Amino acid sequence: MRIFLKFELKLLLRNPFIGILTILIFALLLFATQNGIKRVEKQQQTIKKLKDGENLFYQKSKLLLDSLEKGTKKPFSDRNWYLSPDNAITLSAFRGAGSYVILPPAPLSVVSTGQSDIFPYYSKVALGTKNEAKDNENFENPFNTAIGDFDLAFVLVFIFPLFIISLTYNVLSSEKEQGTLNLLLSMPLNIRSWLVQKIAFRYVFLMLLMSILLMTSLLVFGINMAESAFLSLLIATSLYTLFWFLCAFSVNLLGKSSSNNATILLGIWLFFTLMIPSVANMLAGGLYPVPSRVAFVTAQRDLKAQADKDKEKVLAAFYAKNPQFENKKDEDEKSWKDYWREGFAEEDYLKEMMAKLEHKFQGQAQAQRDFAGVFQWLSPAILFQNKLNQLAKTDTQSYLDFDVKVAGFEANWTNYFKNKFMKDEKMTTKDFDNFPRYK
Amino acid sequence: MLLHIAKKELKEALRDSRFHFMAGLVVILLLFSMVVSWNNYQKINKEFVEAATTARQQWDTQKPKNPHSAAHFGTFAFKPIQPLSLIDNGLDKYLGVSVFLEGHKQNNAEYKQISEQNDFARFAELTPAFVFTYLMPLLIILLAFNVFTQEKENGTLRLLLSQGVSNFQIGFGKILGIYMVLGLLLVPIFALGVVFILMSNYQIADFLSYGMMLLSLIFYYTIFINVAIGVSAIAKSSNVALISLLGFWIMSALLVPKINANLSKNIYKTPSSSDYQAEITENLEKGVDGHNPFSKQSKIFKDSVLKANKVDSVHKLPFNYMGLSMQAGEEHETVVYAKALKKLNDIYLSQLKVHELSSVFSPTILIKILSMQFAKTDLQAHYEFSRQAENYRIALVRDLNYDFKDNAGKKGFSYISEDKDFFKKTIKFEYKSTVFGQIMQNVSITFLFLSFWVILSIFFVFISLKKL
Repeated sequence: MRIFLKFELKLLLRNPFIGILTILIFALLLFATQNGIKRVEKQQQTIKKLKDGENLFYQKSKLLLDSLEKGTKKPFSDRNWYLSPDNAITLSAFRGAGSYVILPPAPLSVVSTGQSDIFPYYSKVALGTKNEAKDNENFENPFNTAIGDFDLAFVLVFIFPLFIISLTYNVLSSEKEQGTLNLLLSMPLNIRSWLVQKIAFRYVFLMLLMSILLMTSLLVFGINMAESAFLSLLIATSLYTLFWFLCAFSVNLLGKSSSNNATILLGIWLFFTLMIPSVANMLAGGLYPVPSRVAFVTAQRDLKAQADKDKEKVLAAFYAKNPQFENKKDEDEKSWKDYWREGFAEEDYLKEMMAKLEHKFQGQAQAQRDFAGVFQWLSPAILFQNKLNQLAKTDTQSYLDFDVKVAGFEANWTNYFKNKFMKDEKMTTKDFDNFPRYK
Repeated sequence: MLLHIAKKELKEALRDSRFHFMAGLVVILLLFSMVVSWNNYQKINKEFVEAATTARQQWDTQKPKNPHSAAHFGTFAFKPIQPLSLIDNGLDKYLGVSVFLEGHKQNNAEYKQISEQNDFARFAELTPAFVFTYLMPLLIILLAFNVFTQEKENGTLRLLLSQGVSNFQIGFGKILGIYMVLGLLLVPIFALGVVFILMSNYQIADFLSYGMMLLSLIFYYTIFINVAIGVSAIAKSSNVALISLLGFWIMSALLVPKINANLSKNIYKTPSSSDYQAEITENLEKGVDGHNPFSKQSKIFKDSVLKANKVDSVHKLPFNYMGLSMQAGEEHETVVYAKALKKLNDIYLSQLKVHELSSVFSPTILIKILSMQFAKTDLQAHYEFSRQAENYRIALVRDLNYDFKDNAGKKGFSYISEDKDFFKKTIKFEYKSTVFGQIMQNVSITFLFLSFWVILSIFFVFISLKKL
């Protein structure tokens, strides 16, 4: 047995092909890690910039409010109400006000770009809106987005199986082609267990090599690996690798020629990495079509027109419910506060109608995703990619969850300031510590 | 003799069970993807027509209001689907489909299909272009990798050569044979493409584009055929030939494009969305704000208007000053947005250049770029749509502001046009897609690169045949 191991190791180490491939894989891993780091750094820089801007706005407002409270500065005239930091609207709705809600990159987000180049990872929440600044669209050349990032996940999911195939496709067939198979058969050993040993040895060899390479490339860039997620990453990788070794083992047992084996294994690779996803995507899209967004846009507009028509009714209901406010019929008599109060009433009405429309839309998109979720079990490549996305927290679900959280925070933010406004309370510097915060 | 050899190759291929399987698979996938594309085309086209009509109706029949309020109310421009997206839907699902057009503001196209699709959409999408670009070269490799190595291994090559046939005759005979096999498979498919285009909402130029698309594909396949035959001629065994050719495919189709996606980003950095918006905001503040008469720029503008008309107050002007000032603000905003959009697009174009240059290692990149340009589903076609939508927005808002300026008088914002059909009479948006000549100009360099590859591959075949 020991002789066997020694011999196998020698065989592998002497093969110049393996040396070259190892160096190539290592180079690709380093490049992929660097790409991941660059992406995460860009995100972190953006987050810092946005948060700094937000903090600056509130620091300035607080200082201004402080001098108003101390009387060192004259109060603003009613015409310039929107500049005065003592009302809830100025501090929550526009001109820099609002709070950025952020989904910070996870410790392992370097591993997979996932859906991070499509879904936003931050959003500016302001009074009545989830996306006040409209500055969170993912900006990247669509051509590049369509091709996809060269990230670690790509190396692991797509390239790594090719490496395995190149190591294993001819384990048995080469013996046959070199004429050494007969020699082997004449010896007192079971050819199957011999093949198992040979392939198992290569599996262990490759897993060790891969783990070392992966850890080195992460170490080079100073990624923290003391994460439980990192262990999951290694386990998932070793399972995925095992799958490809099992494929290679079975194909070898078919007893075909080396070039036939290579073709079959590559066919399997194509089948799992390209064919199944593309066919599954087509089926999901065909069976659960997402309703047209262009139709959605015009439907939204109809709702707005409807809300506009119902304006008087909505306002009458509002004033009936809130008798402390006077329903001024003459437009010229209305103060800015009247406009905002009526605006809130209309907004609430519209939002309710919009939510129904959006719900219908989201529901169908979710049905398509659920259907596709079942299909992932047909391909280890998809399963592994999804797992990597989950570890990196760049999977679709993470972003959908984030969106829900943003909506939740928007409700808190709006409630807090709207209450202050409706009660006609003046904001004080003490209130600054009580602003809703996103956790 | 050439023809004899070609016929032999054809016969062999048609007998080979491995070829039956692969060819059958490719043809089924192609037919399947074409039918799916066709359904998709019809669906999207129908949605587009409905939405565009509805949006215009909503605009026409909006509640009577002040023209500037109507500019704020806004309308939509929708991007129509191109007939050739049947073959290659390019970047369509990564680009927005509707632009909201309103006063003061240029909006980006919204609702990218990709963010509403399932996760598989990121792996691959079964379209005719996918099969043409990725799977067909594999089929070529499987057809050609052993044309020489097998003859060598069976010892028939010597026999052939001893009969006085030259290396080149054998080589080109085999190339011709592979063309014949491909022709047998592809001509019906290409013809089916014509039928689908005929059933779509086509223009004559679309056939020219389709023709160019097919020509590029033939060039692309020629490269793979030549490389495969060349490798087969010099390789010692079928094994080596197959592995090297598959390596070439992996590099061309998978590795190089992906590596370049990142390289191009590293060399020409795309600004973050928030930086892009921040720059726009900063530049906007440098000019007239139509809604803020108290800003410094607005005062300068007011003074210049008063001086030009030789009056001392805006009330004495022969027109409504607000209308003019809002239009002045609009014009400044327009320039700021156009500059920002162009700057971003220039970065994208530079990034595309990186891809083109790297095509030294990957002919696949070239065919990808070419085919989506011919299909008008590339980024430049989208830029053209954004530009036209923006021009339309500018023209519409200008008409509205000028109506305000000329007719509002002292009523100001409570002015409403007396003409009941006022909104119906405003200009309509009509998207004119890029003309064929312009496309040819855009693709010229990429096409040249592809032609270089063809020439290079021919050289390669010559050299390898010599060494046979």
